[in-house]
Amino acid sequence: MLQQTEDHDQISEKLGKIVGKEFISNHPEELLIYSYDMTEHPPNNPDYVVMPKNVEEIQEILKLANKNKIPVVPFVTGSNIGGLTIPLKGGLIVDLKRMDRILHVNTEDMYMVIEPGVTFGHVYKCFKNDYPHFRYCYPFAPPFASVMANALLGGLNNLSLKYGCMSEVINGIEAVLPNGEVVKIGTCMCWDDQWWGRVPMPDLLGLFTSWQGMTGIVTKIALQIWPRKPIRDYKFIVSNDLVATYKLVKKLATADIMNDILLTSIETIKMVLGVPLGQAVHLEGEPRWATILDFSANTQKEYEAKADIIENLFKELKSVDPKAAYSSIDNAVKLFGEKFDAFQKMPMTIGGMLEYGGLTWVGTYMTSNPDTVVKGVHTAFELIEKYNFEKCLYTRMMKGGHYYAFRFLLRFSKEKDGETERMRQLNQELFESLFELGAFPYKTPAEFTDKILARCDKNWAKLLKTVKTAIDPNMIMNPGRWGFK
Amino acid sequence: MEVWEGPTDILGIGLYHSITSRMNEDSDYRQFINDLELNVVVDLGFYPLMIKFKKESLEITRVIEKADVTLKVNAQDLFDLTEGKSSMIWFFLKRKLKIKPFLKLFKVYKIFSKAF
Repeated sequence: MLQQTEDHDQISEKLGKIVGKEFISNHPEELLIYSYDMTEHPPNNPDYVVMPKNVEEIQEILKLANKNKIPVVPFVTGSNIGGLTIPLKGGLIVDLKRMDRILHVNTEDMYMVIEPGVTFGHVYKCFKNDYPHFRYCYPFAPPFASVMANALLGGLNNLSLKYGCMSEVINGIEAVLPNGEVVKIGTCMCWDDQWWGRVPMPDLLGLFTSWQGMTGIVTKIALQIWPRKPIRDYKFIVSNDLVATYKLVKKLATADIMNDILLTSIETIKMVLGVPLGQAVHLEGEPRWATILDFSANTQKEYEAKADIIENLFKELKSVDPKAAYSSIDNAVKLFGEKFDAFQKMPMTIGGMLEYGGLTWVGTYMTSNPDTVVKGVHTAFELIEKYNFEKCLYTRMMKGGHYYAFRFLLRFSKEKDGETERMRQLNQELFESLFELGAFPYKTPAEFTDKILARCDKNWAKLLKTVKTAIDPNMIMNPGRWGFK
Repeated sequence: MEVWEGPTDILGIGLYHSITSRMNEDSDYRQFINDLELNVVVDLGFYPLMIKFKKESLEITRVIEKADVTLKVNAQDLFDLTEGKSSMIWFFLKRKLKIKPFLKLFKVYKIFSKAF
């Protein structure tokens, strides 16, 4: 709730003057939309929603909020699957959708500068139409997800095997601090039109990545783009032996020839194909795992050399897992239908994932050590079985094998009595078990941070507090997260 | 919400989609399938499936009943077949594809060569 020094009407009037009356609302039906997301995290209403159009409006909003100690939550589409835009303390939702321009694409230094409301759909269309020789990368998410939010929150995309999580490909940002000041980070701090990097100056980007909007509102971001190689192909493997399959994944990752490697359970494939909620389960005798391989090449010769390495490593898998089978993904699309295209045509709306109202995960980054990964799968499977949900494992090798993205895509029905609460309990147990194994939850939900803070280096927690207090002394930015009440 | 039709096991989904999508594309094939009355057991090396062609309807189930014909091919060979790397006839000659009884070869060929 507001701890305002001015009353609601005055605040409302002032916000209206900043953004225009049509872009502020405190109507209950509109507040409701911003009170929840797809996850099991409890909803909470904001007091206002505002939709600024530019940096100056954001500056004025933050000055007003700071003066009146009104909580502020930056928002684009709320599809982060961490409950991160649920306004835990009410206040203002600053919906950034209207700021949706791709400001610049630099093909020499290979980056793009975009505003917060730019979605993966926008970027896909822009590159397809105007920059066909370049590419960005895409998450296993619908086209309406925010590119900036994905990067700032350290999400994973289909080039993460090469480049790591998306905060690792940020060249620079412009942000509005809680006091209304605008700050630039990266080379753009010296030259307005140059966003090619963050080195060699002291790197302050970390003040904004994975902070979940607790240090300010990022208004521009420069993200690396890459040349699109003319040949691209995907392979699909089904197998039964997790250890041998993971061995293949690790070898391919460290061979440095792939764009992306996904290792999923067969339940995930079924979910993507549209098998109804509750029925995407592994049946006796079915193949247990599915691996999707994505690679590209500049020439036919390079393609054949890569395909050869893949086939040879598949033969190694086959020698210990005789039922393993290997196919092109186009063939899998032919067999299983167009929905299978979701694995090669990102971004894509995946109906089977979103149509039941509830979707969540404990998404983590962890060591790529095979023993830990395999133990993680078994531990999580036991828990998911205990709570009777679907074991939709979705994992991705990161940054050449330096670490591993380990998560389950857990869908549930919010309409069924008790199911949301049951999912909450499962996620809590999943988090605790995986955290014990060394898996760190990304897009960390507020429910998990107390345990992390209790375990982490005390001086890290102290520094976190010092930084937060210095930047946001009134604690207005997305309060209720990472121990900041 | 989309209505799910067909089996929920992964191989059944593949077989069901392959046959029904071909039926949607090819009216002669649709007529042929709609006229069929045949129980086919398909074994891809993981588990057997029964495809019941019952005039105007198609059911794929893991419950195996008396079969008119049994088709055996492993999953990798099926992938190679659907990918066009080989043909049903070649597989049959190489004994990678086993059909019992042999007399049903032509009918099985007609069902699956078009679907795959």
